[in-house]
Amino acid sequence: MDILAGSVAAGLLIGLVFALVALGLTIIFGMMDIVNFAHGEFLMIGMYTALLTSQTTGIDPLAALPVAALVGFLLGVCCYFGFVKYLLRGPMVAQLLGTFGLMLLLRNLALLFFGSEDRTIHEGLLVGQSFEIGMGIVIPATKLAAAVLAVVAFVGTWLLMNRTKLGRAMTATALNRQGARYMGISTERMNALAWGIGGATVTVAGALLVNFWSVTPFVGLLFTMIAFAIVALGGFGSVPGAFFAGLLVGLITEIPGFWDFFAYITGSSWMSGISMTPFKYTWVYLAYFLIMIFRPRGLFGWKS
Amino acid sequence: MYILQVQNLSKSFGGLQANRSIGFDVAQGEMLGVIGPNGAGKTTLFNCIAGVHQIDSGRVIFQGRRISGMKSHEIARLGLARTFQIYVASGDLNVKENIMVGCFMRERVRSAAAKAADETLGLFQISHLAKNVVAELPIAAQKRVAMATALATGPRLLLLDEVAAGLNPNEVDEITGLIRSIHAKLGVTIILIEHVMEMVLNICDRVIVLDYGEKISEGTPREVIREPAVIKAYLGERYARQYLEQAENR
Amino acid sequence: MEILRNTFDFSDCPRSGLVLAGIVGLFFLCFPLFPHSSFAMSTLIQFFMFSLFAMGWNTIGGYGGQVDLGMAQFLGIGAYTTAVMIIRWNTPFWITLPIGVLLAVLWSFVIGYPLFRLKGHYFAIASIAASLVLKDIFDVWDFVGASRGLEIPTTRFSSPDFLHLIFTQDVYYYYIMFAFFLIGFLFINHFRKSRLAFQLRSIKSNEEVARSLGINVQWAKMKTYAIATSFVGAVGCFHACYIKNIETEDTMGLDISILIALMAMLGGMGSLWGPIVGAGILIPLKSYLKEWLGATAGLVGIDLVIYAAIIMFISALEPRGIWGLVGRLGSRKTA
Repeated sequence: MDILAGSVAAGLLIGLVFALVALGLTIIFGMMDIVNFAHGEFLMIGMYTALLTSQTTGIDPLAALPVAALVGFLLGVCCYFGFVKYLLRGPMVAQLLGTFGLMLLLRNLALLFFGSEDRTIHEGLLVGQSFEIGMGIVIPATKLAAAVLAVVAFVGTWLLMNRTKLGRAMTATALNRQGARYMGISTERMNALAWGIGGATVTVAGALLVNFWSVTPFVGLLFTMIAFAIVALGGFGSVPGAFFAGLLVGLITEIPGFWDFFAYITGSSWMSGISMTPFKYTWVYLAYFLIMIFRPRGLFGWKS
Repeated sequence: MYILQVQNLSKSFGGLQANRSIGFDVAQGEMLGVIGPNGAGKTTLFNCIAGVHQIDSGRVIFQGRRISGMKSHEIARLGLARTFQIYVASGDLNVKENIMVGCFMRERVRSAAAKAADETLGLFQISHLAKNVVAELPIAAQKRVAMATALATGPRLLLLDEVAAGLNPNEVDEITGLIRSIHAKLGVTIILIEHVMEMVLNICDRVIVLDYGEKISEGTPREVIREPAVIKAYLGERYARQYLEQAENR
Repeated sequence: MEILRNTFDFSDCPRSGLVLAGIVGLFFLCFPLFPHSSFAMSTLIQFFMFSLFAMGWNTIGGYGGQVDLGMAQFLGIGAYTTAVMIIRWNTPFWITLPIGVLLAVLWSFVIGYPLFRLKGHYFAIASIAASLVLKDIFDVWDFVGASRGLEIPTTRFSSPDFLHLIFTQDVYYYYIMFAFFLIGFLFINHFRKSRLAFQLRSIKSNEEVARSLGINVQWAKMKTYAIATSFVGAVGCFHACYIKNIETEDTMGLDISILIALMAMLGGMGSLWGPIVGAGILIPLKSYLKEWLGATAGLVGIDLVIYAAIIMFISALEPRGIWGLVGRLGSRKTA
């Protein structure tokens, strides 16, 4: 029983962070119908930012969150004005390949500056701490903190987009570009803002993840794919969709745990003979593929 | 002999009833007009006949064969072609290549398709535009290309969706003459949706009138423009009188 | 007859272009006779291979407008089929080739049927997902070597072994790939004039109009996908014998899929020469950047940084590819 509960808890916790990872992607897609392949690389930069800030200044990695957010925001805005603005004029192939170029660029710049070795945070207020919350479930403090802060960041962004004048202007632009322009909203600035917010949220997610996830320059692609899966599940452009889909994808990555649990309670020898751990993310891709085919509007059918 | 029979055709989108038990027959070689105010369900009717939409109830019979429920490319292959109201060719095909796509429905090899396309180009008097990209042509020429492409499939029945929309009076006269000549030369049955009443009065043998998805009238052009229901729903008093005078003077 | 005529008819290409192509072709034919580095030789073999990949991609992506970003899975299917059959059963390459292509085409039907219900971005991303699922399966599937990969033991064969395509000298691979390249090129010359190509271009322009012209859109896409994947699968079979040591990352990774699409786009989509031009620019660029900057100067990653910057420049400023650039310069001259 504790395997099952542990898997559910772990899935939900990581799912909350995944939701924050996907938030930026869905905002950007909702605004300008562009798929950003470099999304995971933004996350990787967030991870390095938090890691290096805490290592050089000696502050706790969690205190480096504002730095990561700032870096992400600036990175997003710079990418928009320096590059994406031009991409939007071109055909879809150019957009796909262009953001892929951005991904290669960021990944290899990181390789050039930081080298290819795995880096992990060893020191920090919460590193190594854990709680037992009953039923034999042990939760590492870093994961719990990351999940809680991810929810805070997610809700904060959601409030920013729905409760502030600026956010409403963004939503208006996403819904009707032409109309927004007639209202005197600069769509150009709204797009840049979307990239800024998208960048900031995903680097914050990276800064949270780095507390328990080691970082290399190649870590991005996995998260790009996870974010794609979440956005597809939740409906392209849908913010609440991303939240619930994030939780779901978090649970999907825990399928190996569920598998072991069912193998144990059914006593099935063929099930316990197969290890699901190598397929941890395959299920995410597969779920994503199937969702795209059968429910292209997303699992919850929310319109973007 | 009817080439097309539409029986009790109904189609709704969500709560909106776009077509409500519409029925009519089209005789071989006839030229039928479909008129009615915007949003009356005329294009939906075309889409239902051509298999773009699956109909909710009713039947469509083409050359004695039930086509409702078939896919649109299958229906096209049976000899039912159509043009689209809003069609901007976005691809890189030039005029001749566009028409060749139509010809390829019956032909298998390029030389045969090219030969057939040349004939069609001549018929529509657009041979000089063969190498132009469709999107860069003036609207009147684009409409000709659209008609030529549809006709290149060698249909028995041709559905024309507002081919005169956006044209000036001269161009309307030209395209009216063109429709009349292909109708006469090729013996193809034509159904056309049109707002330009002069054209409908000029060339249609018969007209059906749609309003709010229902057929409210059917008859010769002269008959329908006298009908109070049609005048109320679509023409308006003043225009009805004007068209009537035109029709009498002819 | 018509097919043969279309295959060898280049009369619609500009004469200067044909002369240039002839000279380049002659150069390829004679290249091994000149003194050359083995690096240049392997770069050219890679160029032939990637030209063929991009030609295949161009049928569905360029003519048909369906941006597939999962082509590497078919490369993997071809490569693993040949490797497994040669290693386990000593099967001649020329028997593994049709089997590899057949498996690639079968798989293309399996995933193509659902995939082609999607359009635009949705299609592109779903094709990536399909490719990653297959890669993950190959990564744990013991029969195909799982994550260890497969190695064709060269000692078992006495070079030159034309039956199993195992050579110690690259020149054999060079000419075999060059032959593949010519066959592929002629096939595309036939393809672009075929009924299917016209139908595809109509589909790319507007699917609803295409349907009204009697085109079975889904089936046309799947047929073309089969053509594209047989190109990729066939070269994949060759890849196994040429590289001899295959792993999932090098054969089925996302980078390969994207590189294939990128070359077709860079050269100009939906044109006969585009994929070749694209491969001719990107492959030497990539391998020489790596050789000079990566290996010699010791700056790991800088080659790909420059490479990425070039991709970004092209996609932002000239998304119609080199062909668009040529067209633009041409029109400026006449204007």
